[in-house]
Amino acid sequence: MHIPDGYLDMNIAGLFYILTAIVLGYSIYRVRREKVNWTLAGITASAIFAAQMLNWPIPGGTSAHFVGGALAGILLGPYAGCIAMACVLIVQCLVFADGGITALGANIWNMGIVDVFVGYYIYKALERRNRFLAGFLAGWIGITLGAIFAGLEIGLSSYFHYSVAVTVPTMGIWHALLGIVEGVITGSIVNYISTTRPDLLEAKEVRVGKAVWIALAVLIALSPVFAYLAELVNYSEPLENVAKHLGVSEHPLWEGILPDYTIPGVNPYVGTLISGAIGVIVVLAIATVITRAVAR
Amino acid sequence: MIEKTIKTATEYFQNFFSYDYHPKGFLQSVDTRVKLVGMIVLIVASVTTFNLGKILAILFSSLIISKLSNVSFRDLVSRVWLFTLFTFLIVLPLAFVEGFEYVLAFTLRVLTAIVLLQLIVLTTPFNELLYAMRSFKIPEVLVFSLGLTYRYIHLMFSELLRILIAMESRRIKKMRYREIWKEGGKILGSFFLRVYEKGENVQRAMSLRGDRIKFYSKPFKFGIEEALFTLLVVFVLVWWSSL
Repeated sequence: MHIPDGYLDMNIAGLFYILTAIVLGYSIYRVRREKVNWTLAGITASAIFAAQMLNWPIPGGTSAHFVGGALAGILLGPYAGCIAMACVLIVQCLVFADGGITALGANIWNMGIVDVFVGYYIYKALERRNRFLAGFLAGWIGITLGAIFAGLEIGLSSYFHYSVAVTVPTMGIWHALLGIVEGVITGSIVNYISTTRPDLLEAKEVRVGKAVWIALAVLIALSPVFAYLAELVNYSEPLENVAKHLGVSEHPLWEGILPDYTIPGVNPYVGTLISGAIGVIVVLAIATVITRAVAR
Repeated sequence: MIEKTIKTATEYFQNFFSYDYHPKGFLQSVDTRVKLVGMIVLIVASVTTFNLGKILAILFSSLIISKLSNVSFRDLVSRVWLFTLFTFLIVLPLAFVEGFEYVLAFTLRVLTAIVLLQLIVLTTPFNELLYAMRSFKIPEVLVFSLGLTYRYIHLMFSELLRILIAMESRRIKKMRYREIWKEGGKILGSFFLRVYEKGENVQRAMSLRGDRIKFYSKPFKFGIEEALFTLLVVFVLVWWSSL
């Protein structure tokens, strides 16, 4: 998810440097004003760095690793968490050349701001119901939204000739799947800490108002706008363009339950909306089963 | 889990000793502030064009700089090939729509920028970068946190490894996926608890010493090396704009 140099237009890279500087500057101001133990931010950042190297095995012989943005927010609060993740990403860029220097603002925005703040507020909204589930959703949704932002930044850049309609779904869907790993790890850590040192998590409690729920509802409601925009710019899949160019056509062995995200006999727009909703419900159901199995 | 983690970490931590590989050379002797500005200008120049001539001019110049700085070519290639290949494969389908020249130019832009960034990484100790950041007026809370992050990475990793080895030595049978994940969650939970307590101890120790952050800043130097480097960057930019 680290964007390297060369993928972003300079105006987009510059915009995200400015946005990141504003949020990071405000976080530093809040940490100083509230006399938060910011030494902890540096040391937790090095621990997140170490934890990112753990390879978590996934059936099929592959593995995934942890990012830790939501966890940083939950453990340290959003402001110190944001500083901690910024430290991780700056060290990764300037010591390991992981992520570009012109894209550093965008990378901190995606993994150090969106992931941390979204993760923190989701956790705070749900912690009273079930800490593991709250940690899971914080990690999962935080990293998925961070990836969607990365897709937006890359897709809006004219240097990278894949459009937003390709980059956002690719980044979003892929990280929504990988994010389940992030969610389970975040949930497990939060669950363990809440049973051994609950004081660490309670110290930073803030009330989550209706505004957070409204913002989440607006984001969900706005999601079909992307489909409309894709239609507006006559978007079609690059692979379909290639197939047309080569004069080949598809002959699937099985059409699937919802072929091409539609429902046979139903208006295509309504069908796409319903199939999208079914997809979300299926992912949520799988995630709930996994979280319950691991939490048991 | 443990074997793969150790392998990943070993590969990753090799970079930490990169300064020992290339202790002396042209870029190493240039003031970090001048070097950072110059190299970032070259990175921006390389990623804001699709003209193959301009991109190759900067790539060629960066290879000359690496030679002058005693950075081994093999070492440089080993650090840049993977992401360059990844980028090439990502944009390859666009060859049917945009033509192969776009794919080549995009990949070479990314390669040039990675080479330049690697040259900063390979020739600049991290504490020098911190001094430079303070000179650029980056808030001391951030710079000090960065210093702590860098300083504690090794300690945190060995702490995590100790916990993993302890777990591995207690294991008597092969664990199933579910067990690995369950145990892994507990391990990381206890790891972050230790980290939290260590952070509190460091904070208390700092408070006892007066709780004042004082950052040493190196005096700015603009000698013959900095003048030569500036001339080189200007020359490359003139060459770049004339193509």
